Order: sequence, then C-alpha cells, then structure tokens
Amino acid sequence: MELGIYTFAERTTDPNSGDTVTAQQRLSDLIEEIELADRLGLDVFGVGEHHRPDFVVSAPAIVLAAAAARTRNIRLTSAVNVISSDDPVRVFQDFATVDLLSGGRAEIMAGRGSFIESFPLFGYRLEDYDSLFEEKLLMLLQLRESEKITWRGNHRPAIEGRGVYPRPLQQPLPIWVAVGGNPRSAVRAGALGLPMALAIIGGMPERFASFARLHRDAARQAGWDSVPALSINSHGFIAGSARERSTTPFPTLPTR
Amino acid sequence: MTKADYEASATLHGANFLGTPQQVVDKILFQHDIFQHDRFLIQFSVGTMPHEKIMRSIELYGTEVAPAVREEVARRKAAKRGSSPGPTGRAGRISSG
Repeated sequence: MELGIYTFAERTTDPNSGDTVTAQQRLSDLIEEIELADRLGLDVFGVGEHHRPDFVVSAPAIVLAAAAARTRNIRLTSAVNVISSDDPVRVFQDFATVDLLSGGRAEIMAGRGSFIESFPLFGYRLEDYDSLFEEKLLMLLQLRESEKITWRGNHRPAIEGRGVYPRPLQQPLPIWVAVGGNPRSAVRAGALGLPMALAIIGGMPERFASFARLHRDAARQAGWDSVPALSINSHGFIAGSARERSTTPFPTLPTR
Repeated sequence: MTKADYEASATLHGANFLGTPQQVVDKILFQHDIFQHDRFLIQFSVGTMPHEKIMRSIELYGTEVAPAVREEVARRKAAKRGSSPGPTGRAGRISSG
C-alpha cells in the first residue's frame, strides 16, 4: 500500500495566539513538510487548489515543481485540481512539466473542489457545475492519450488538430478522480477506467464500501483489463502518546 | 463538530485518524479489510495546526505507521496468494488508468 499525505496549506488564525501565519511562511513550511515526507520514504504528497484568503495554494503545479527540485522519490499530486474552472490544456501542460522536472513523479487528481470561488473568478456559471467537470475530465484524458488533439465541446473553444507540449515523462501520466459523496462519480470513474481517490472525512467509513464496489464493477462492466486503483483520503493527527493526543485540540474549519 | 462527534470520529469505525501511531496503524488495516485499497492519504493540516506539530505527525507517520502498515499488507497478500491459487485481484497493481 502506498502511504502519503495531502494538504490545503491553510493559513488560518491560531485561536490561542491570535496570529495568522503569512503566506510566505506557510509555503516555506509546506516545502519543508514535503522534503521531510520524501526523506522518510513516504510515497505520495498532494496539494489542493483553493481561491480563498485562508488557503495559500491556488497553483498546485507550481508548488509541486518547487518540491520536485527538493525531493527524490515521493510522488507529487494535486489534491485536487479544480478542473471545472480551469483549462484542461493548461492543467495538462503544467503537470507534464512537473513530471519532467521530477523525473516522472507527477500525478493529477481531478476534482470538483468543495468551495465555489473559482467559478465567478474564472467566469463560469454554477449551473454548469456537473457538465463542466464531465467535459473537462474527458478532454484531459484525450490530451493524455495523444500529442495532437481535436476537440469540440460546450465549455471551451474548439481545437482542430493542435499539438500540446511538452509531453510528460510517464506514459501515461496518472489521472485520478476525486470522489466525495456522490456514488455516480464512483461509477463514472470506474467506467472510464480511472483510479478513484475516495474522500472519507465524516460518518462511518464502512458506509463507503459500496463506493468501492461501484467503482470496481463499473470498470469491469466497461471492459477494463485491470481494476483501477483505490485511494482513501482522510483527516488525522498522530501523537506520540495518548496524552499528547488528548491535549492537542483538533481544529475545525468554518462550516461550508 | 462537537467534542462528542470528535471523539466518535477517532474510534475504529469513525472517519478521522487521530491517535498514537499504533492506533493509526490499526485503523488503516481495519479499513484495508473493508476496501483493499492501494493507497492511503492523510491530511494533517486541517484548519490551524502549527508547523511543528505537522512535522512531528509526518515523522511518526513515516517512521512508525508506514512501515508497520506496509509490512502487514504485504503479509496479508502473501498469505492470500499462498492459500488460494488464481488472481490476486487488485493486489500490487497500481493502475493509472
């Protein structure tokens, strides 16, 4: 099993001291975290995309590129790319570049994101939430499939046989689908033969067993040779002792 | 999240991986029984978590949790292969789609 870490690089206010860590400090700390994870032999480090003042990373590929230069083995993934409000060509180019810089360690985790700031920021309508994700995911897969792309869709200008560069080192560059509460997303990921990153951040994990089954069955039904991989993504904190755990307050984010 | 919810989430059947390295190992393996997943990603920095505490969590995760989990998962897969001929399912294959 691969074991890794993901983060959104928050810079929220410490309730005890009242201080807010600066964006610069948080990014410096983040690179240190990735370096440590790599040194310890952890397998994966993921960085998520947000467009809010309390989150420092809106450009995961850039952070991962910085980490690529300071690490040797750890895989570097988005967690997630909010592909709905981005250009799949740019996302692919960015991560192909990280892949080259890292010697073949980049991955894309495509998700919808849990906040909606990117929609008005990049000029998209919330009503198109579902079709944007669907269309852009399919486009991303085509970009990975071949150097030249011909594309016609609803949400992005058409492309007629243009090449997208540079090509990543990995053939193929891993593309995962992040799934939260919607079972249809698990089915779609499986039908496309894509590995699924299942976020389990509340409730009882056992209730998500059906998501794993739906994913596997959809892949089998669609005729994929091998079952696509499954990741579970959760929250946590590891203390050296039970006492340390009980005296460390687990912070809560504001309700979304 | 109330304190009661928080405590419940930290139990074996809850969603959060809060505890000592051994407790986290146990929970990952408990979930592996259910999901046979290929990868587990943990998020330490939810909200405000001082850098030093994150670094300490990473250290415990890398030095104590990861080796124990990998060893046990490998042992389970070897045991499965030993006792039943035929395909081992998802074991060991990371499909990138």
